[in-house]
Amino acid sequence: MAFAVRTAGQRATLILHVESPGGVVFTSGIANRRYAALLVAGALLAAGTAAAHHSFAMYDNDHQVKMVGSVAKFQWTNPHVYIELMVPQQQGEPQHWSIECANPGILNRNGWKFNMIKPGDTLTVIVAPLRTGEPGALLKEVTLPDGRVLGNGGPAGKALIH
Amino acid sequence: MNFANSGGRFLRRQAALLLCALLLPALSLPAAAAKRPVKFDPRALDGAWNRYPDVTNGVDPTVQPPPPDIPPPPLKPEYLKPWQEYQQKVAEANKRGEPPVTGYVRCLPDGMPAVMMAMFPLEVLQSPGRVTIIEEAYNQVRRIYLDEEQIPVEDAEPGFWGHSVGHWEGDTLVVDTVGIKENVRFRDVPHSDQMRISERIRMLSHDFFEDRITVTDPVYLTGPWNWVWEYQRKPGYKLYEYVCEDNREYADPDTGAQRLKIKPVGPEK
Repeated sequence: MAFAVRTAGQRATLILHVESPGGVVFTSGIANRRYAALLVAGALLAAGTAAAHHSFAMYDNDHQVKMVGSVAKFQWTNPHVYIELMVPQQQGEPQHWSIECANPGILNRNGWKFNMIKPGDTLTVIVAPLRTGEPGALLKEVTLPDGRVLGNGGPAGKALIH
Repeated sequence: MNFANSGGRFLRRQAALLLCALLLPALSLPAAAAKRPVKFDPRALDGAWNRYPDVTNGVDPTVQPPPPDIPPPPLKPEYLKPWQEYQQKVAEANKRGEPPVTGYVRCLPDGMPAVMMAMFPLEVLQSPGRVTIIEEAYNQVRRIYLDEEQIPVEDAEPGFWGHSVGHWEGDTLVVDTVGIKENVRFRDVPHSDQMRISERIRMLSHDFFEDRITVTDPVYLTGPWNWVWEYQRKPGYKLYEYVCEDNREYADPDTGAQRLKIKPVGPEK
């Protein structure tokens, strides 16, 4: 068991750390309740700032679109993973969309797997399209053929439409 | 209470039994310790860590309050104004949907001190005379040489992670870094070859450590620039490889803004 008391400005924190012989580990931080709301706000602010290292500003987050298409290619690479989706049009050939996803590390930590999407799969995606009007987009949410719904990790943001 | 009477003896015996019961688990500790360390070792930094709060997987502020946000850099007035103007320009460009390109768009790694931001998980390895920190993003590696004298700044070859030496002061790993390329910047803050980054790395518990960072630069800064980053243990996590293999983001030749290259879909070459 270990205690660590930290102070930072007006904030005092007690961290309690317990390990039992059975291997159960318990770590807890107790902060002054008065600052709890402030801490939550601070955490969100910090998260926003830190996530800004990679700008997604070229995508129009306010005008998300939902599309159904067939996978032409699933590219599992850094710095980004791409889904090349062929989206049927009312007339003519299907339109090819390049859909940017997070990277393999973030996606793995969010339940994705390198081989979970295959050419020919039908996917439903919610994306933020490029502001330029080109057929490129940032993924917000994907529905796999088996019905599983997956996000694109924290920094890429959530789907705002359904 | 009078412990001389029989009731007192009974109570004392009960107390002794209770004490034995409490001590028994403690006696069995060595056996359990073989499976997993039961004592908090304040130097056991080995393993995988996430920045706390974890920006990619959400925040649980009930576990550990995050450290305060990073203050603005104490730049000298002649450098502060252009820095503020640039920050304003970036904010406006982002609002227009034309973000200026960063080093990441050119597949460049963070370098120091930004690598310790731990965009993705970190792994700490301790070996004789050395602490090695690996950052998953861009496969970055920092080598901290223990108990060695730091080289003079003028002899430090500029690099992304610089030259780091460290030593333990009690339970704090004190690290000094020099030799950061002038184009390797954290938060767009300019620096000279005189910049030093000092770190005080300390475990707060088995599952958390902090890195208290101080940047000094007699050319650009009026005083030390301090902030704290915290990390949470990520038990069993294995770092992924990271090669910036197919970066489709590029700088628009006309505006300098970040763009996405749309690749035609065709057969693999």
